[in-house]
Amino acid sequence: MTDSAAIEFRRLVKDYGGVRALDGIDLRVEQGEIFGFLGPNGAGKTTAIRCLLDLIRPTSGQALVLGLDSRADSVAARARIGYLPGDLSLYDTLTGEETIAYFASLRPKPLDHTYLDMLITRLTFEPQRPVGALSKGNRQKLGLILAMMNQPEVLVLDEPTAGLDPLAQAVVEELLGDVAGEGRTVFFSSHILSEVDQICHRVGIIRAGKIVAVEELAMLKGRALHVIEVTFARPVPPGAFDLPGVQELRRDGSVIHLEVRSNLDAVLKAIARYEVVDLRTEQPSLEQTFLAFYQESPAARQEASPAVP
Amino acid sequence: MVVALYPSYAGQLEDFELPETLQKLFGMEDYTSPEGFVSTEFFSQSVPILLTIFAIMQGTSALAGEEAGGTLELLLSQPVSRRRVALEKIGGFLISTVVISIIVCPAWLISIPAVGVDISVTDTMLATFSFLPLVWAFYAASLFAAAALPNRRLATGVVVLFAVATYIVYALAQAVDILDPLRWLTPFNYYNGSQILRDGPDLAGAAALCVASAVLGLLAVQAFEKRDLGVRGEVSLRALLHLRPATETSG
Repeated sequence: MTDSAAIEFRRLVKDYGGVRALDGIDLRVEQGEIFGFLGPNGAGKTTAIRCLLDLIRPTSGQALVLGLDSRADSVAARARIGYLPGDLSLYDTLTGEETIAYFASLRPKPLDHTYLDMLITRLTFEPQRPVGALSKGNRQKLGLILAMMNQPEVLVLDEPTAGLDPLAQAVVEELLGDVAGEGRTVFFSSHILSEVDQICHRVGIIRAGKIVAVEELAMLKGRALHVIEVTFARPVPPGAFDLPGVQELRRDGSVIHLEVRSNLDAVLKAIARYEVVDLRTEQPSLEQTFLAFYQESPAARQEASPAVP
Repeated sequence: MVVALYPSYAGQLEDFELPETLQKLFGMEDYTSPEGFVSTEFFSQSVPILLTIFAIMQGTSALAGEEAGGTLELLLSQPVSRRRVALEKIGGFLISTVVISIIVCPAWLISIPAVGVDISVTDTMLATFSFLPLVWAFYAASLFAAAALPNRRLATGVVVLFAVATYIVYALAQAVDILDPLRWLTPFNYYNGSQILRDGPDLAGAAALCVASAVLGLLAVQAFEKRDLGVRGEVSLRALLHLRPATETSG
């Protein structure tokens, strides 16, 4: 079973009442990967994750953890997952320490206290305080400790950095990097791409219950587009930059904004034909790259339906 | 306190004469003897009602309460089966009710003789334990309703309605003959509170309640195993109207 995927969704469908929340998801996450599950709120990220943990049941299709079916081998599958819910609720009257002891008692594997202490120290968590008195960020830290403390083979984290300050976010990224370094798998969801581009190996994008893309992050970064702002001495004729992979975004007299997906060389040569006063280029965030590749821009939509007023 | 009231009542009670129908309605057929007085005051009126409320509160909060509060999410994500979680909740409740009864016993044993009412120790203890099957039945019914229905408030409403309706049927059936055929439907029929100290517990009735509790308990476990776990604070009406959950956190 060593070559089975860490996580696999097979044609996973989930209906809530009359609404299709997941529309036949197929996804395979390999062992040792850090996989970012991205999508806007309401796209189905949490629904897919909750199917994996057998908290909700698929309408059809399958969710597997290390080859174990989430329904048929539910307890065995969960023994190998550490889970952080997106909406974390803990017992307010227990202290952090008591909460840790309680959840540790539910696991078959005895707790490695050295590892636990390392987590507590690195996240600067205070385990003696009652959970009810903790801030949102500190609760989130406790949730992360609970998910990670058993050193599970598969970590499933729903919005792990929500509510954390940037310092703690950086620590979490380091910790997740270490987990993957040990050959364990991290699967986490986020609606913020910039949050994942530091640590993910691959990302999957889900929108309206469908996986729209699965990409190596390196590939995606390679595809990064440029936005070039050129100020010319005189206005240039329209259509001067009508090149494939290039889009003229805006034109204010002699200032032109270009979005360049490819053909950078041709663009620069086209620019050089005119007198340039100023040139600025920025590499947009991965976020903008994504939007450019996977979302129809309003302009594209207008082009597609010119008859509609 | 009510026990202490008996001696002062006793004089008046000798010529206490409610119309027969009303006596039956309130389960007060035997109000003027010591056994009848204690039976009526406690075992037929206050305590079963209080305990029924307690059982319904416990039954609807055990699993459904944790579900609505969101803590069940992390608990059920651990490698424990839903069956185990449900059975342990039930076991915990059974033990706590027995412990409560044992704790309450000395209070009866002291207060009843203290006011000069002569009721034997065994009878008092039996009477105390005779509540249990009734409590268990309502607990199991609440647990089942909470597991089978989309949300806790609806479940509480349904069970409370059932309790009130069956209590009224039970009370009226003692006075009104046409309701008599319906008596077997009410849980209170299997618990003879108002005659408990005089006649001893209704063992057949207790057994029937235990069977009903076990069946409802198993149905509850089954319904809980099948259930899609709700997210915290999920708006119930939306679930009923087949709308998308309103508070899905991020996906």
